[in-house]
Amino acid sequence: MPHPDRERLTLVALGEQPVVDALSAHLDQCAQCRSEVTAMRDTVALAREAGPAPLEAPPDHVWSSIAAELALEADPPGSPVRPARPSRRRRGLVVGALAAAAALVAAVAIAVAGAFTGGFTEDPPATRQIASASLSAVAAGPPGATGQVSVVETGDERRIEVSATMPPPPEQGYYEVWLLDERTDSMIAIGALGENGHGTFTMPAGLDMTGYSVVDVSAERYDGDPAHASSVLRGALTS
Amino acid sequence: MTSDDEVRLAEGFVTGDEAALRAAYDRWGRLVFALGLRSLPDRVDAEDITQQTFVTAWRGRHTFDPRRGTLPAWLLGIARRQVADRLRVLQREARLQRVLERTEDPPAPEPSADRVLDRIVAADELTHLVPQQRRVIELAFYDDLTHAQIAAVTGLPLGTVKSHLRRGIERLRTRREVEGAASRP
Repeated sequence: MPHPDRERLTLVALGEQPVVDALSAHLDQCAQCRSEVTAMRDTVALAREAGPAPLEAPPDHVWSSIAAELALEADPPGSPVRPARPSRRRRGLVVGALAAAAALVAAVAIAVAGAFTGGFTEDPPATRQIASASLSAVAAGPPGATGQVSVVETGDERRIEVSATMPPPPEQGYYEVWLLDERTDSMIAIGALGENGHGTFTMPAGLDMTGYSVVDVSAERYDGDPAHASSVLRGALTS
Repeated sequence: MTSDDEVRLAEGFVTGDEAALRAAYDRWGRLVFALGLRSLPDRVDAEDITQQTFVTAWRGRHTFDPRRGTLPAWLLGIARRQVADRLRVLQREARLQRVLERTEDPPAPEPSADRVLDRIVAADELTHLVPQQRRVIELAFYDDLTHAQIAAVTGLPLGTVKSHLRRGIERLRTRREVEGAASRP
């Protein structure tokens, strides 16, 4: 018998008995597969001993103590400052020597830090809302149709989130989201809303939102004509 | 966090970016703390070990060599030495105490330090599996379901269940080889 595939060996390691005699016979004879199963079995045993509970985070004052002991410039946001507790550890020569060495390299590190930090990503940038709009039905639109728009910014990226409550699009049609500059009547197509009336779209980079300050939702047909058809919902963005 | 992120984090750490220290603490502080909690009798000792590990690592960050191992493996190595030092102190105190009290309590057998570390690494890796894979693994590991039962419970095809199990176990194994006890002398 050729070597059984790894998925079958995995099942053996998990304790599911080999149902095929040929598999048992192979394992009896093949040291390579046996050692594979043993290694996997040990991994499974470890994880079973570890249990499914996630590891507990150290209490907040541990970080405060680290920051205090290292005299870090400031606590990054999100870490509550508590009174630092001196360590009970009897610090030996090693730490002293490390500190001296670290002081020596600190100057070098500071000098080269600028060259390297460009590649280092900090925590993901926070998302914040920069504008919003309430949409309501235009005169010719479906009565009672409404929508909400939120423009959020994460780092350099701006996204527009649209959520509309209105009748489903007519057959052979869909709803499209636009940004409108009322001063020039220019329109930019942002994207098609999902069947549920929701959609999240990336804003074209560099788009000046002070001009394109009106959100428009139009009913479109699958007619191949890219131009704006008939408005359904509209609302002005305010920050 | 992808391995690319970890590499960038390690670069920032070595060059003295304090934000990288905080990021490393947020990412791996719980591993170090868990090692302390499971190796030492007192919670306060575990907190001290965590503090000292990151303080020592930061002060000695120029000694970290990414070619010789990952940043978490290096941090855990420091933590293990901290734990061993603390245990020696505790044992000395306990021996003294026994002599003073003229009692002979043989210490209870405990899992080896290696095993404790490997368990922690496994527990941490489990939380980094994608949710569906994690669910499958947990049903197999902790609910003792067979792959056929898991398929029935989750509605996933048998082949998907088997592939999740194989890949999940392989990930645990790889992580153990990179950061677990076997990665250190």
